[in-house]
Amino acid sequence: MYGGSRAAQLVTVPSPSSVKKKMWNSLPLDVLAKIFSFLSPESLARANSACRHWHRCGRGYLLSMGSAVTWKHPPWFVAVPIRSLSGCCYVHNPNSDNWHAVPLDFLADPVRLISPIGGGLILLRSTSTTVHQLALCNPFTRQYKRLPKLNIPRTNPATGIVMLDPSRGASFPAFRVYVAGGMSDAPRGCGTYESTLEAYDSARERWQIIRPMPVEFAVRLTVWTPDESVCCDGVLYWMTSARAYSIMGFEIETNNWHELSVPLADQLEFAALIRHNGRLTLVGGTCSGAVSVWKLREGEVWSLVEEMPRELGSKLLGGKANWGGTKCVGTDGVMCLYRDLGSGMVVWREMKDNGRWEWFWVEGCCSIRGKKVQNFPIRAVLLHPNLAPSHFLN
Amino acid sequence: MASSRKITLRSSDGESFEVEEAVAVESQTIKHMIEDDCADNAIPLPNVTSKILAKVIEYCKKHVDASKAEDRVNDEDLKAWDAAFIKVDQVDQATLFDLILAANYLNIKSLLDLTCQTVADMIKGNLFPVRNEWLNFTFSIANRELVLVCLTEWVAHRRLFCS
Repeated sequence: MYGGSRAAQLVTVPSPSSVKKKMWNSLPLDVLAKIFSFLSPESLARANSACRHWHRCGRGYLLSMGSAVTWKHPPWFVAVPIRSLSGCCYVHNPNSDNWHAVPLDFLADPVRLISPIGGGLILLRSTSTTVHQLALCNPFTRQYKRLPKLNIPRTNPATGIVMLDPSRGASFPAFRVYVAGGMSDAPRGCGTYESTLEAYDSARERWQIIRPMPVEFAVRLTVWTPDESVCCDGVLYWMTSARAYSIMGFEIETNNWHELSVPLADQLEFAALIRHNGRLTLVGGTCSGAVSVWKLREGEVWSLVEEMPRELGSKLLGGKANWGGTKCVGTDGVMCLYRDLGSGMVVWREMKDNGRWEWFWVEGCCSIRGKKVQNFPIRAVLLHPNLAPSHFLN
Repeated sequence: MASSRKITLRSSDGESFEVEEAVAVESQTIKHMIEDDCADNAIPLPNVTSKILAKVIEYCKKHVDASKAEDRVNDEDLKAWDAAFIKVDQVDQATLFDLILAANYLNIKSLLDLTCQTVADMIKGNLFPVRNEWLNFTFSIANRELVLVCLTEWVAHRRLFCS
């Protein structure tokens, strides 16, 4: 089981009945909140149900958590089948190395996963219309909310997310969604490339058109619609979704666009952009069977930082001839490469104890509690489950 | 600081403890009192009993010594010392509880982290039973949490602990 070494148990075991409930019930809220900050989501669920006082604190604590919280536990892997056939998403708990099925029957539309937003929320695209329609959801609190319609309806634009530093007093979550490019319905049924950028601000809760963008970027973002974006140092990056890969960057403050080259661009069979330790990072698999990790350094130079151990790469390939269909998600502290729900995944994670990074294999989800689970192609995100219903999603 | 001044701390039950200033200022609360010049006589700590104050001083002394040792005390060794210090069969629950409150009041971050982590481990180890009536309360106010309840197989734990 991966998940780091079991921290030396500081506790030998008094029996549960000897715990003096009355005493522990009276811990002040700020101290309780500190205790809760050490708990993983499932332990927090248990703590929430110990007594009324703890429940109130647990809720209050969860509601006040913003993206600024430094997590002491690894994020969970949340996988949504690409064609939502099963009505569930599948989540992997890294603390217990268990898979769980979380029902998505509360969703109002069939959806396609785009990206996590902080605080346990996920940005989705509703696939019930071809016109781009975004929505937010939290699979653990069963909340779903459509975002307002875009000012200029379009199909297949690129979507990007920027988390904002929550300003004092601003409610959580604080984020901005950017939509760039796409095809718009022109009169006489002939679509044209839409070279505008729109932004949605969570504080204002509406879309605003930002100034136009260069047409060549709009075209590429539409034709090779990227699913994910990465925001680093005030630049929103998108990578084209097929060979030969290239990266487009949008500088948020200045509204300027530029292009970045990709190392081994024509040799990569899959490539993904992630954020790794605060820097833009590229993960790609070549036809030689190797998976490499590059980091973008000063002067827009890529440097190779890591290679996946070959035996893990073979396991992930699972006998297939190439890397097609491989995807990658990453956040500060952890990176996962995966294919389908059942194929297993390769994880590269920073170990809490010593700060070293280690590679692991995680078995895919083939059965849950004895019941066989079908194998689907999936798209996944990494997030920290948030159990508190968000007012924003009401 | 060249000279190490001695500070007197007085517990709620009237006992006085003389400690080096470097040890006393592990507590941010005491540090501020000294800076505000309230430390000429003994510093009264009405919220901390002598039993707990003695343990707090023991902790602070060890950590101050560890950081200024000629051959720096190994991090591992200090962690092991902390673990022994807080071990629950040596420190009964009431003492652990009082230590948390004292660390909070005295604002000693590392001791507060240590004690809170200990309680978190107790929660993780299922040592806080779920109350039967609260099981219903939780289910009824948050059907949303039903999803996570299934996730944690907490129902199984309920059978173990709620009698």
